[in-house]
Amino acid sequence: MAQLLETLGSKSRDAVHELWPAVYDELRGLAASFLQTERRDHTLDATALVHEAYVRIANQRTAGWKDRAQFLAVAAKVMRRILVDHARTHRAAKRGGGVAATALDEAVCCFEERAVDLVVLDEALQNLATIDARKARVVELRFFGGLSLDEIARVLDVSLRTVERDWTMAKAWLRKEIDER
Amino acid sequence: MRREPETPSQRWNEIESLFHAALGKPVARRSAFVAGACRGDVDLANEVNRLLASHHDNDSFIEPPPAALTPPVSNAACGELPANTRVGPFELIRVIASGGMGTVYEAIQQQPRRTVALKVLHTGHATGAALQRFQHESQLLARLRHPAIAQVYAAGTFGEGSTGTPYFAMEYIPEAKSIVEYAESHDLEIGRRLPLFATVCDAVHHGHQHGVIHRDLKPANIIVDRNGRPKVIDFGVARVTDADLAITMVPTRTGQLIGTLAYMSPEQCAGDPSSIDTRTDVYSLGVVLYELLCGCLPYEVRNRPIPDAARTVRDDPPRRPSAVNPDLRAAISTPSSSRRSKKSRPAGTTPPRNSPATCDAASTTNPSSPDRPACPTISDSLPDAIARPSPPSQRC
Repeated sequence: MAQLLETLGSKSRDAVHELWPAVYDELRGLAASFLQTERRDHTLDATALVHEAYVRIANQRTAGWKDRAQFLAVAAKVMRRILVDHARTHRAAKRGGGVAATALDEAVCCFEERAVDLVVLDEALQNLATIDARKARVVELRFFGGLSLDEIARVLDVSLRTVERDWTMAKAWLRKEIDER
Repeated sequence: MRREPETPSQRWNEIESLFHAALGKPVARRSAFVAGACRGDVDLANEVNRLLASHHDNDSFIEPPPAALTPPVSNAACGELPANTRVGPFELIRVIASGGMGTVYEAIQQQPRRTVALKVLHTGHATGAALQRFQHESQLLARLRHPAIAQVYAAGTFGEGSTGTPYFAMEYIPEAKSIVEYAESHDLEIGRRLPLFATVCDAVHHGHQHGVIHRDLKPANIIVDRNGRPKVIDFGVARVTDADLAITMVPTRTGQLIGTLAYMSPEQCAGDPSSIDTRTDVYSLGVVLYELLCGCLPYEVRNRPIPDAARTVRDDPPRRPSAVNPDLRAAISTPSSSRRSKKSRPAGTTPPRNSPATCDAASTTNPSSPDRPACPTISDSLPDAIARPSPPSQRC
């Protein structure tokens, strides 16, 4: 992956297609982990999520993809947008908005099962970003990007210790923020 | 005793360092520590205490599951197995082809002694429910018996422990060509292409009647043996391997994906596998028929970015076959033109019978074989199938 990404450099966004097998593996692993629960078959949802993520990523500039972590950082943003958008749509549909159900609705349901309301989390994360942008980045990379704390440290160019402290603090703050709503 | 006014950023830093300092103390002493450290700043103490109350050790809140932190095994890392390797009851001879999802080997089975095409999948980590599903669905595939379907002899996993690498043993078809290559290399006239294709429709229909959707119909999966008999290979494999669209979306080369995308139905292009049904196969067959009759694809998707190509398949009307190949009789293209709109989708999962399109074409262009059932169920509505719309929920 890292090697593939190195070949990208300043090439056109079409270069993403050459990376597709590796990108797909990464995204799929990521999507599958999001959708992991015990009692359901989530293969289809993961596929839908990956496809949408892929199409969005393919439309972005690829500069800055230095390694796997950098790529996942981009993917994290994309995943966050897709999932939160769908959570909103899903919510509207539940209120009778008449929006057709999609495979991604199921993905959103998984988060609900895990007691995470994506829309609420996203709003809290936006608030956190105004207070402490780096902590919000850490959460995005970890929760939506599945990055390890080590990888986050490299992406943000800070020490592992800093990332650990950011993560602990951000979690407590987000939980407080969400509980106090 | 109030201290100097602070900036919000200083305040935040103070909260954070007190929070971390308190976490370093035993739980029972944290509250006293905060009270002391805040030196009468009640707001500050409250803020830190609320954060501490929201902090739980081993908290799963927004923690990614462990699997997310393990980089998945890349397909590129899965090499080809050397000759003489034993895979279940099979012994590998040589590599026939290697694709994104797996490698196909020529292999020998001892009991009964025969040559098989052994497809070893790259996924390499079928566990638990996925493994069960693989076993269940491969049994379904083994029940498909049709002269134009490459028989699945066996399916299983090999490798250690509870995880395994799935494989399929299938009928080996030597010196096979794709249906399009075959038709071109033998310079078949339309009257001979249609019966060949009708047999393929028969085979796909047989699969559908047994509850199996192919999902990856394209010339490379519709081959013709040296005696001119068509065989559909990899029937249902896309589904069984859990791969679904992955089988078409994980190519080893970009060209392969684009090549495959041309045959994918709008719902597959939209990444909405839940809407895949037998009509997906009918659509793909329609594209293959188009190519057989016109010598080109209904859409120009080569050399274009994948999202654009997917959008074209989803939204654009195909070029009229008669406009591409004037030799085609009006009987093929006319009946479908009135239903070409992507907005009108035939109801139900079975294509309507007695559509005159392919029937007329087959019987009128091939009068030498009047006794052949030239028009099995699926072929009836094929020209329409290409123009089939995508459901409203689909997005690319």
